[in-house]
Formats: sequence, C-alpha cells, structure tokens
Amino acid sequence: MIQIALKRLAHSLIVLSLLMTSVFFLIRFAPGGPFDSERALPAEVQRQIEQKYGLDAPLWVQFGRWARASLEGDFGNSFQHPDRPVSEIVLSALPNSLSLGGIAFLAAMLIGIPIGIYSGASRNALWDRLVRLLLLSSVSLPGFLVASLLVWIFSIHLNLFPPALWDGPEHWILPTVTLMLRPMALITRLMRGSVKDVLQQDFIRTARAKGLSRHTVLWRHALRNAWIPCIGLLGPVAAHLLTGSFLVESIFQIPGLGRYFVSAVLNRDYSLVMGTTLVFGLILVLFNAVTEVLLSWADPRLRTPRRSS
Amino acid sequence: MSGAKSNPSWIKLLLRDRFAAALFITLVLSVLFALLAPWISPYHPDAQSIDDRLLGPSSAHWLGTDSLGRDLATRLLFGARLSLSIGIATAIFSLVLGTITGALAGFFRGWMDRVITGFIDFFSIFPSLLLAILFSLIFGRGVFGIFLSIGIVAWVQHARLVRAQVLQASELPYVESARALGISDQRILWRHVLPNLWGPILVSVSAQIPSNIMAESFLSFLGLGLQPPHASWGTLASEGTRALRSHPHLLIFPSVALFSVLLASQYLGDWLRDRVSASFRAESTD
Repeated sequence: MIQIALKRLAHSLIVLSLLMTSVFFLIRFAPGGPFDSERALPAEVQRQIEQKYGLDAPLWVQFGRWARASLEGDFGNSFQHPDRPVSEIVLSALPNSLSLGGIAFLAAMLIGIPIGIYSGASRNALWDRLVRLLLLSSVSLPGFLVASLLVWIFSIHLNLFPPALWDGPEHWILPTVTLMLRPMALITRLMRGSVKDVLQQDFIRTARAKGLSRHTVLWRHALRNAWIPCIGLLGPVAAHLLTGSFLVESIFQIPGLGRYFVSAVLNRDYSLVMGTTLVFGLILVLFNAVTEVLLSWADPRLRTPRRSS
Repeated sequence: MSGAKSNPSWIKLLLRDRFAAALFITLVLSVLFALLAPWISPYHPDAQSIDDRLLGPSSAHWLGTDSLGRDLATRLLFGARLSLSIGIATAIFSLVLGTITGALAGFFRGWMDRVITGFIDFFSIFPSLLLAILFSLIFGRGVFGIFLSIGIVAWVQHARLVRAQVLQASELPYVESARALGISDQRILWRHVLPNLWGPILVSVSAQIPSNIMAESFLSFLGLGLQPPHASWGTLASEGTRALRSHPHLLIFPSVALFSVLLASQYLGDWLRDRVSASFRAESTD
C-alpha cells in the first residue's frame, strides 16, 4: 500500500513539474510582454526594466531561477501589481475560489444524484425524455451565456440578486448556479446510466425473484454498486469547475484565482500565471490521487495490484 | 457488413423520431446558411452605418443592428461560417491525427504506446480549456491559430478512444488468423482492424464538433478568440453580453443560434452513439 502511494506521489510530482515547465515556456514564447503599452518605451528604459526583473537573461537561466526560488516558497512579485507578492495574491484569492467551487460542487451532487437515480430507476418514458432534454440543454449553452441570461433575468428584470461581487449569500446564488450546471449534468447523466445498467444485472433479477420490493432492491442492492462509477467523475468535475471559474469569476467580478489567471494571461504577468497555474495543478493532481484511493476503497476488485501488461 | 446494409434506412429511422428530425433539419439549415451566406445575406457583414446603430429588430434589419450599425442577421450568417468550420475542421484534425496515433499505439504497443499514452495522461489531468488558453497565446488570434489551439488539445481524447478500441480488437481471433495467413501487420491494422471500428470512431469525432464550437466561444469570451473583423457566434455572443442591459437583442439572437446548433449536434451525436452501439452489440452476438 505504501509502495503504491509513493509511486502515485512520484507520478504526481512528475506530471506537475511537466505542467509548470511547459507553461513557463509557452507563456514566454507568446508574443508580447508584461511591460507592453500603447506607446513604445524608449529602448533604454525598456532595457532597464527588463534588467530589473531579470527578463534579459536567457530563458533557461530564468527558468532555473524561477524553479529554485519557488522550491523555497518564493514566487516573486506580480508584474501587474508590483508591490504584491504572488503568494499573497494567490492566498487571498484561494478562499473565494474554494468556496465558490465547493458550493457549486455540493449543489451539483445534491441535485444531480437524486435526479440521476430517479430517472435511471423510473420506467416513465416522459420523465426520461424530460431529463434527457434538460441535460442536453444544460450542456448546450456556453457558461458565459448562462451567466448573462441569469443576470438579465434575475438582476436586471426581477432585481432579486446582485449582478456581481462576492460579499454575502445573496451574491452566491447566480455564480453558483452558473458554475454547477455542467458538473450537475455530468453527474446526473452518469448516475442515470449506471443505475440503469445495474438494474439489468442478474443479481438484481435474483433479488426481485426472491420477493424483495423494487424499493429495497434499488436502495439496498443496486445503489451500492451504481455509485462506484461516479467516483471516476471527480477528476472531470474538478476540471469543469476550474475552467468554469475562469468565466464565472470574470463575469461576476469575483476576486478568485480564475479571474487572476485570466487577467494575468492577458497581461503576460508571467509570475502570476505561474503562481495560479501551480495552485490549479496541485488541486487537479490531488483530485486525481484521491479518486484513485477512493476507487480502490469502494471496489475491492481494483485493490489487488494488476499485473502490468 | 451489416453497417452497409442498414445505411439506406438510417434517414428513415431518423425521421421517425420527430424531435431528432427537427434538430437534424436545424443543423442542415445552419450549414446551408453558412455555405450560402454571401448570396442570401442582405448586407455586407462589415458595412457600418452610423445612422442605424443599435436598432431593434425591424423590417429592414430583421434581427436589429449592433453598436456600429452592422446588420446582426448578416453577421450571424457569416458567423455561422466561422463557428461551424472551426468545429468541423478541428474534428477532422482529431480524426486524422487521433486515429493514426491511437491506432499505432494500440496495435504496435512498445515505445510508441508509451509516448502516446504519456501525452494522453498529461492532457487528461489538465483541463483542455486551460491548455487551449495557453496554446492560443502562442498561435495567435487568427482563424488558423484558434483552430490549432483547440485541435491540439482535442485530438488526444480521440486518440485515447481509438487506442483502447484497437487494443481490444487486436486480441480478436480474426487478427490472429490474418497473422497466421502471413498478412503484414500494417495491412492488418489499416485494412482489417480500423475499418471494423468505423462506428466508435465516427461517434467520437462527431461528439467533438459541439464541444469544439463551445471551446471557440469560450476563448472568444475571454478575449483570446478571433479578432475583429472576424466574428464567430462566440464573438457575437460575447459582444452581446456587454450590451446586455440596454440592447438585449445583441445577446439573445446569437445565443439562440449557438444554443440550437449545439443542442442539435449534441442530440444527434447521442442518437448516433445509441444506434452505433446497438448495431455493434447486435453484431457481436451474431
């Protein structure tokens, strides 16, 4: 077990450092720089700025410097906000993003799982069609349009919720709804299919033949097996929440990681891009590791180490 | 072989499901609109008119005009060209690159498999849109740049599917007997294994069209997508979100266009998947 965990950890570290390396070079090769402005600066000034921020050294040297400093926990200062260290920005933005993502995640599960179970178990064709249509519609509208339509209806016309910011519960509703739609559709869809599959298996027929009620069979026998594939969704759901947060935080002006990442990318704020990407990478790698552990705990068949083919 | 036999009836099958038929017609119409845009549009997409700024729908401008007085209906027609062609071109890119690499990895294994699965693992941990954002910085905001940024992250998913399918198929008895007959590996793979997998391959590629159209609109909204004067549906819709308060028609019409095409292609993709997996199941039980 320890061996597997260590192997997993090593794998995660490799993936993470690959991500950081590729992001570093991708953003450096992109045209433009952090100090571009409408009017070109005099060459002398430009050179002095670059010298001050160490941008005049060869890329490899800069990468080495960044890697060494960040291993010591120093991520430098943001280029856009020169007096703020990247770590401070990230730490101040993280709670907002985590609460937004956390609420959306919980809401998506609390709504998606029951609908999925119900529509998977019910034999009502109309209900089944309705759920399918709802699922399809919710993945057919890009997130920024969902957000704009919600703002248009609930903030501008009905004046129920504020159209932006993150100051209290009434501010949470619209961003959360926007963010949770897609993960919810994923969860419902998988749960529905999984329940349907399990209900067709032999052991369910046996349980029914034994005289158990549909209800007991569903809750005591079917669901025990049906929820396992849903663990595999943790990774994709995390990915959707993350990219969704880029949009949602930008639209609703929530000072979270996603919004900082987007503005840092647009302004070529190299150090802030690296800082935010590192947090995203850590979250995703963590999610993947947790998924694997949960899967092996939930399904004993996966616990015996497979022989490598 | 039953695939070829059932071919003439698929359109009949589609028309029997009224909802699917309606969506299919929507899709065909939007492709037609996109193709015929220069001939059927009443105005030039970039023709500005200061007197006609921000008009609501009227008989002269069916869907109104934008902040520069350009006719929205015309811009939507031309936007369809960009959105649909990005969606389809990236799917073809996936089809070619993903099928070839996935097939090589699944069939020959070895170092090629290790390199390709390495790619697949990496891309499956990090969200494709996050990576697409980073690639779009390098490739720029032209049509070709956006196509590359989306294509590069999309083909990997298709490669994963093809690899799994080929891996499974290469264990089947017919491959073994082909080997026993002395047929070369290359020939077995390209002439026997892959043609048998057309169903899942088609389903996987067609499922990419809506998600790639969506990815383009995502990039456009963040300000990393197509640059003016190019205007896709994504660009138009994100311009619309900025005029939301005062001129909602600029948001509503592009949204409706985007929504109906995405809904139609998703639904028909699912429909296709159900049919294909049903026919595959039927074949394997024969």
